[in-house]
Amino acid sequence: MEEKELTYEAAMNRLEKLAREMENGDIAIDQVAAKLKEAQQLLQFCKDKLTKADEEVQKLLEE
Amino acid sequence: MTLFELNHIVRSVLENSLDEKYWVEGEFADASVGFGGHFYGEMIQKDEAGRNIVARARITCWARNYNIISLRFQKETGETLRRSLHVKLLVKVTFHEQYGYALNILDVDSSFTLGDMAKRRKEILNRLQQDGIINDNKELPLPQLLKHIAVVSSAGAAGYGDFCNQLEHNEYGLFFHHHLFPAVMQGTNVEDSIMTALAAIADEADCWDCVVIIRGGGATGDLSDFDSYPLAAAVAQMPIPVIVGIGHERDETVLDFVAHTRVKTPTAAAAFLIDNGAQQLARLDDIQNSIMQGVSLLCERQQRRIEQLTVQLTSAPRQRLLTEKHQIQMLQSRFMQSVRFMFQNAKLKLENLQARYIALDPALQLKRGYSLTYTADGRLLRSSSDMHPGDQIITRLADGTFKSKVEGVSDT
Repeated sequence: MEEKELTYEAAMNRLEKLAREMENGDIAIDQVAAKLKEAQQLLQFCKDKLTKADEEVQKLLEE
Repeated sequence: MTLFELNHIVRSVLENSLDEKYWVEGEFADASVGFGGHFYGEMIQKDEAGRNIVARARITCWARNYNIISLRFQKETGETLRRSLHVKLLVKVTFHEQYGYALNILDVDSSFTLGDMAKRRKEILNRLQQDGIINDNKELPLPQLLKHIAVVSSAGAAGYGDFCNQLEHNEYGLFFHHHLFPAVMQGTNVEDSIMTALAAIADEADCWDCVVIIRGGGATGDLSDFDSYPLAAAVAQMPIPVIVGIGHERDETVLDFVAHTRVKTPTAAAAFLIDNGAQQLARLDDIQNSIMQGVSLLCERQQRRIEQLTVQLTSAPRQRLLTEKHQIQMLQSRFMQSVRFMFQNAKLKLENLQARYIALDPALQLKRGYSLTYTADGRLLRSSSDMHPGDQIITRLADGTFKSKVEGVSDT
């Protein structure tokens, strides 16, 4: 549901920001796990966008 | 006089009064290769406005000569001798009793046609510039994700097949949704059919990340069909980036100037899309690495902090304890010292007193030769005035006493 609204560009921007925060050590240690999880989800989302078919688009194209 | 005789006179007059050959400029209104490989066509000249034809002549070129000059022309211009092409020809004026007036092509000036095409392109580009749209498509940001590709090409073209094949079998496992909007890529309908395809794509522009216009690689057909103002304007004003791979190594069309990205061939267009995806994958890897490094750095830093705190927490009390112990030792030694001093002092005093007492001891005086004298009733005599002749006295020495009688008293 969330993925429907999320665009690749927005996910990328968020990832860049997370990476900067992590590198600068701007993150409270309590938040590291949550942020890491978020980052991994975003990475997977972006990779899927690049390498997998969008089912809805596929359907439209096949019609 | 017969018609043949009249025509023969005309032919003689023409042949005698004209030069061997002339350079003449014009436009092909018709051009085709007929039986036996001979070239037949019609050359025209239009008025300044380009509306009305002001001159017209039949043209021919014999197969042997045509093969040589058409090959060279194609090599030099990328064009074939075709309809509506502007050319400068070296011709011999001929008149045949049966076929009439015609110009026989001896040679063709490639640089004139190149110049003419360039001039036409330049005019189109100037107009695009004046209209302020020449950079519209170029200035569109290229989406980071190029996945939904609207393709304008002809379905049967080898270039289109290559393009699809390359996209679908890329080494990175990238997935592309591509859809063909068929168009004629060669001949007089190029302009209309590409524009129709572009309009269809523009209608659903939010479904597509970019447009790719490709034409079969290696095709040697005329490129000037692409040099059209309406087509260039349509490309420039597409709401999404247009990638052009018209498939011509040497020459360029106005589309190359207005498109967001120009590549040489359909396979290069596919490679561009794949590279873009590969770059995105690499960027994702970089981000992943940065994040992992960041996390481990963060953890290391926390670890160090904990170690430092541990040291601080354990070392401070120990230090404190040591200080306290030291202070106690100091106090103890100071205490001991003062006690020792007190005793020494007391001892010294005692010794002093003892010495004084010893000095006072009468026995000691007696030993040294002093003696004590008492009256007979035992009083110690301290003055001669207490004595009188005849008094009985007792003298005590260190080792005993003796009695004697006073005979006389004097005060010296």
